[in-house]
Amino acid sequence: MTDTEQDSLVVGPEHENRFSSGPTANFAKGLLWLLVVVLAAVSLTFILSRVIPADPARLAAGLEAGPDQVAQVRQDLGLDKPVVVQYVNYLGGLISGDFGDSIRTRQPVINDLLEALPASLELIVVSFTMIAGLGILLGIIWAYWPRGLHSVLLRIIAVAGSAMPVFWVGLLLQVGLAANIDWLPIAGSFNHRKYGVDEITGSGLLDSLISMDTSAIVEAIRRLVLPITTIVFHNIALTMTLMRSSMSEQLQRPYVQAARARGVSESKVVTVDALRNALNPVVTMLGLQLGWSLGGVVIVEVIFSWPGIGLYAFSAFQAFDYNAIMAVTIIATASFVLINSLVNRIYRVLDPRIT
Amino acid sequence: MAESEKTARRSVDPLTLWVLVTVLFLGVLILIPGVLAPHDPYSLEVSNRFAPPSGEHLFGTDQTGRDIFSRVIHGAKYSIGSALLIVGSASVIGTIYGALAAWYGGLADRLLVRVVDVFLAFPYLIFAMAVAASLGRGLNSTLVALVLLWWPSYARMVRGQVKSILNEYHVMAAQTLGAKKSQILRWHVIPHTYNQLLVRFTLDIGNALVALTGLSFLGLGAQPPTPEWGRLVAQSKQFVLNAWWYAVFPGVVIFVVVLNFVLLGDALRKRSTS
Repeated sequence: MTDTEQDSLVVGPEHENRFSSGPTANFAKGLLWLLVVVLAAVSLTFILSRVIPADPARLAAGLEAGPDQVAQVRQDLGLDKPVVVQYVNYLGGLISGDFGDSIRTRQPVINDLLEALPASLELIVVSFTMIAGLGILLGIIWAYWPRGLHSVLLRIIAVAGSAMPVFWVGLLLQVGLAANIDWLPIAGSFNHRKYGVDEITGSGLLDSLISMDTSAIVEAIRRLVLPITTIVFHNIALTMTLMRSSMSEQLQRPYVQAARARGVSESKVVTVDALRNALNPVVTMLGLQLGWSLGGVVIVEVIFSWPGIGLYAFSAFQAFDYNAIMAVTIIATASFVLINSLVNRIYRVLDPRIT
Repeated sequence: MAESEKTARRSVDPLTLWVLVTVLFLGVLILIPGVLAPHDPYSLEVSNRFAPPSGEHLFGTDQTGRDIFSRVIHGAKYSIGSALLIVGSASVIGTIYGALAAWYGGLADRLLVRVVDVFLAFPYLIFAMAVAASLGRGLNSTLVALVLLWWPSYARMVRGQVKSILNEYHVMAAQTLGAKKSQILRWHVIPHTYNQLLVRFTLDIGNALVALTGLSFLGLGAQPPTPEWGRLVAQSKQFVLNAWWYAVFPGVVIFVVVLNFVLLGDALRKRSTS
């Protein structure tokens, strides 16, 4: 569901600005919008979780439990109450950050999520930085020198990257670089205990950097190579092509000619004058990509057994662990809306013409 | 210039030929796979498990000795058929919804747009997992989940288009002549959205195929022994070390089909804008 059309890139109430008046009103509206979307996500997933074919109480009680025990568990979980009461209780819990307990891990879901979050954030932050940096750079190069061998290569990467399913890219990398020639670890994330690194942030890369242990840092990076390559290869196409088209459009504008006529150096014309205008649509698109990233890493985490939110959601799905599934859905939705409203703010700083 | 264009039109137009070949080939794959498949996609031949690609088994065999080439061919109706179904339903629902929103305008429009925005904010993969977990695993619940998440982008696109078409002279002319509202919408507005809709539809078949195979890779879609393409790649995962062909060939087929639709969509877009 990748929207490349310019007009469909703006998500949320921001695209109707007739009634906005000042930053405070915008902020309040953004917050209201966040509430509406999250409430919709909660309600939808709640309704869905109550039509689950499997009986959650039965699952929670375990296979050996007798009918009495199942009834007891049902009462403990509040599943015997009317659905409306359950819904209100769930919402009440959400306000205090309580997503209920996981049937699978028998812990509060929020604890599981906090445990899984650093691993996902590590993947997202590293891959997003590379997508943004590399994508913008390659897009500029492509726009400035549109002919030549490199442009053919970039076009192939752009088309192949978006047409190859992400799970297949991951598998190919495993077959090519890990399974047959043992260059890189085939799956799994950094093992803190094996390298005697303290778990401070939970992210293998950060913790090994803090420990200043070279072999641990190398190992943490080696673990990241395949999953990051998979994500970047799949997602860089959009940034790169959008940057190219936006940049080549700007380079033809009169103000660029004027700057050149004034004797401004080529590198300044491109990186200062044209880049600032060309970045606008790219920033919006990157914001959308960042918003989707929490949902987007699921497949990559599953292929590479990366213990983040995506793998957690996948295991929860397999065990019909409905509290966990709901929590991940809610958090992924909320982060999408939040990131988008933040990006809209940045967008306005970049281009003050947009009110 | 105009003369040379005319002669070019009279000879076979490469784009039309491309569309015809694609439709014909996929039609054969979906409707009569038996014609192309050399083996039965379900027949086991355990003595011949993990046979590498050969003249007899073009794509090799899997862990139970089934011919992967035949399984891929028979899988087309599940994978491409589902992608067509998803994009088809989503575009019909989205078109009607978007056209109505644009047509009524005012408060109704604003409300309808908000609903679309809410849907667009859902992370599709995780949401599809939630839907599949509640409706039960299987191709049908995955189809429901994807249609549920796919129609809003059509609604948004069609709404924007209808809004701008409503301001055009031919609509005003029809209004002046006393045409009924429903007639105007049906005969003077919606047909003008078909061009962009077709471009989007073509591109989206590829996108839907990627989304669907991704979900069934996670075990949400078709269940074994259905030779759905994402499922085939998923099953190959545990044999990556001893049978590279199992992971590679079904993936190549997905890639080539998606690529075909992406390039075809691009070509259609270029034609409709030029």
